[in-house]
Amino acid sequence: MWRYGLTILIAVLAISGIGAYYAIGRLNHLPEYKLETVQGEPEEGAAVSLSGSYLGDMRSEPLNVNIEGSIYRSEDKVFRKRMMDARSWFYNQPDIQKLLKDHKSFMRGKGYETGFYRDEELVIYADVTTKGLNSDAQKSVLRLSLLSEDSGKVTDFEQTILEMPDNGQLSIQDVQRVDDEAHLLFRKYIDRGITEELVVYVFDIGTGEQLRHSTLASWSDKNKYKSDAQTARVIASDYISAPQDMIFVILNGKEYTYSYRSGLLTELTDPLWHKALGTGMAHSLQQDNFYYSEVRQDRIVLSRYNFITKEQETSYVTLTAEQLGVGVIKSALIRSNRVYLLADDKAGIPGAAVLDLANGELLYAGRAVEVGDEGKTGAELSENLRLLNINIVEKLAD
Amino acid sequence: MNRYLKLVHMEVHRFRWVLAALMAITAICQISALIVTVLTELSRREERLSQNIGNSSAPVPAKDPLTFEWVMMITQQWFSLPILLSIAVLGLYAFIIWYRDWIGRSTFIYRLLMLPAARSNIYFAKITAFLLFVFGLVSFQLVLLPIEQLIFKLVLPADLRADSHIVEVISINQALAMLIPRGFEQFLYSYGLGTIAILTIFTAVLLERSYRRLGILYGLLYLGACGLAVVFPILFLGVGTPGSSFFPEEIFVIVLVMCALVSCVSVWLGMRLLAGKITV
Repeated sequence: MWRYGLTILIAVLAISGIGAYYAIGRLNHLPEYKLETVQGEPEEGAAVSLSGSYLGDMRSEPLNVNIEGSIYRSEDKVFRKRMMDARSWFYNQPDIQKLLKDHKSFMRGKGYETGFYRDEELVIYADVTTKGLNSDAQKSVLRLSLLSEDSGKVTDFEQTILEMPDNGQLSIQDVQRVDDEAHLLFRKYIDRGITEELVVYVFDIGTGEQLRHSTLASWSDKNKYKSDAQTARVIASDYISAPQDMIFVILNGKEYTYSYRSGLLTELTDPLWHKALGTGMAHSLQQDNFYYSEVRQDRIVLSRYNFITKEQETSYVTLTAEQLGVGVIKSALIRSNRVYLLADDKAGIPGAAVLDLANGELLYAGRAVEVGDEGKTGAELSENLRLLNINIVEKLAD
Repeated sequence: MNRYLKLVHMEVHRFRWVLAALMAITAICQISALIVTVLTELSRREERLSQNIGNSSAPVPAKDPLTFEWVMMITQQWFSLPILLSIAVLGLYAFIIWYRDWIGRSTFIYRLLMLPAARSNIYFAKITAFLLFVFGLVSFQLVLLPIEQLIFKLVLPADLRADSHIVEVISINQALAMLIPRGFEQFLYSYGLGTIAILTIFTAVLLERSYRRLGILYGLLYLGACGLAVVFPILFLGVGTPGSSFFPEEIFVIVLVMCALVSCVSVWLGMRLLAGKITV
């Protein structure tokens, strides 16, 4: 036995050293936090995730905090999680999660979130690929897939919708259904993007035949390398596949609404967007209403515009930080029929609040606390924890 | 089983002095760097303090406590060099563990092949021994860190130091952070992939030994094919591509399956070559 002492020693060292580190050595490395309910229903805060950093002695550790606890990003540096989080921007969307749950085989090979439409009867998916790019044979081929919710039957159509001498490239922005027609909104890039257009193609749902197409707007920027991020912006529904007749378009500093049913692009005479520039604005398009908020450190103001009645309700809700029971309001997000606020309480501890979008009623207020160490003061807590962003993570109910 | 364990011990015994030397170099390098750095910083602070005492108008510098994490940051290269040396030596030994048996007049491999036991024991004994060396060195580093922290506390007065967590100490050093992943799951993936690499290298060496000059080509082709098989799902199945035909979880499973396949083929082929191609 003693002859093999060296081998046994190395084997014991190998197992015990690594085992002890991962079992014991890593314990109590980083503090755990969670979002504690101060007021209201915890369910309202379930979707809230605050992100920021824990400030250690020599380095900071990025983390997310929600009502269940905290997750440090360093713990997510695992090969499996990195693989699973590939395309997380697509798979984390609640309506995509629902589609995957209901129609997983239909979702295979489909990855452009703006290409989906879903109602009680039908799921439509559209995407465009450019073949023979920059050659004389360049063409844009549309793939249109239709799934019947009742029968589960899938119908696929594929057709060329652009070809030379038209060398434009198409990027799908939105898909909507109007009766038996599928309306596809594209951004078209011409001459390597120097000229851009917003175009709508209309197809028959039953036959896949292209019925017509129209150009909503066209603009050029010869100084292409200047930032053109604000040249044209399409704001559709928060839930990308939801039926939504009206969309909001910002074009060269002007604001428009577009109706798929009427095909009309209408300029807003009383612009909404620019009123809140510089104050940190959140916005949301929900059915017939466009909501936007103006956020300042001491108050939040909600306004809305109804596309049908053309009625603009400016400041229909105004709430001060005092009324909300917080010290500083930092930012806001609008999702579904809720307004989510990132706010520090009066002691400077980061937290969140959730308001009802319709009337501003405070539904939830929470603050970050350290788990298992309630003795810490607000100053001690805020010294090491910086939560600077609020995210909404909606999970599908089982 | 007995024969296998005896072969493992033989391989460990053959490498013992190299292993001891690597551990000694690691310990000496790191502890020396630690002591020199701490003493240098202490004398620098004393010098600054004595200069300020002479200049009564200057503010007394704040006494920031030193941490082991700070020492690790300052002595990055001295902590990393012995680790890189160990990696280089083990990387070479992945080949030498086989080739040394063919060197010399009384070729040792023939004595091994003539043992009254399954030849697969030779293959498994070598891989087991190699993994013992790798994990032994990793564990040695993990055991050394608290010892170095203790030395740090012995050298520095208590009022001049503050505590550091071992995870922070590891994270601040790039070589250590790569060697010792934060999570055990990632440790399994990293060292699992390393084990697969060693298995393919072993099989490539046996291909070379079996077919001589043509064997070099076979070995290189085999290494290339295994590497491609493992990375193929990640590079070509569209992990981050919208519209990929595979869901991310499917690509992950495919990667695991390919890794398992490469391992099994490497072991099978290695044992086949040992059993049938390399003759006495």
